[in-house]
Amino acid sequence: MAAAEPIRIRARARNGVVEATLLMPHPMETGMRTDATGGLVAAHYITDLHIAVAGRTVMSAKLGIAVSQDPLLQFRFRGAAVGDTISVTWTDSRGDRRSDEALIA
Amino acid sequence: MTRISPSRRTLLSRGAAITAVMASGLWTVRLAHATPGSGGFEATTLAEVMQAWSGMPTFNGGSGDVVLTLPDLAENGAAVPVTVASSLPGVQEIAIVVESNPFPLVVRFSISDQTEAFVSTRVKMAQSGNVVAVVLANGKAHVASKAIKVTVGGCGN
Repeated sequence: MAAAEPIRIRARARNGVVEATLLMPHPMETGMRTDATGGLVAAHYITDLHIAVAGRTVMSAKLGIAVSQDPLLQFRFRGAAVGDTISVTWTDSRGDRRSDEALIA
Repeated sequence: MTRISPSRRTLLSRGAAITAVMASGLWTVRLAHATPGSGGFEATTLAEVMQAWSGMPTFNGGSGDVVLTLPDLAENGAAVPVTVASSLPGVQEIAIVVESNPFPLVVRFSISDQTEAFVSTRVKMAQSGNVVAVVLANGKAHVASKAIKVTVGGCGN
């Protein structure tokens, strides 16, 4: 498989609350889908997600097969300011891992 | 319910701790009795999924306790927008469950102290049915559900 595309991260602080949106390009194959030849497509999905700001965990998640392809996630947190770094890491069912960072705007 | 020991309950409420413990492999066998596989993801019914929070008092969400937002109708079951929010203090976890899926548990979010009880994502639905949100706050599981009609299922084929 080609290397996973970068996680798209948008995080904007407003009135002390950071609103973050993540888009994680990933096939999120369930292992229950058949391809054109009738064979099962092997399961391949993100299982773990970790989000930190300045080393502090903001949110973590366990994902199953029913999160949509290219998972999208919006969430909100306090205790961070413009210019802080938000870092996002996922691990998938094959053990592949991808980390990306962005600055809070 | 009473079979769940306090120590296990504590573990279940602490995402980071249980991740480390389960990674060690020591607890997987015992957990398998309550929640098949890891964290309820291999459960095949809503009741089995809910065992992840067994031993905790469960409440049907009152007004504002659990606010579950999703469309009444989805033409495409491959990406159904679901938002869960809560005004409860001390929210530790938010889970999304699609009752009619072959494996109902979709995702479990661990919420940190300074993170608001708000998540919005997209889920796959194989067919019409109930979407259930579970909000864990101060050792209690608050539940809300909403029915949605799906025109085209989103699990492939």
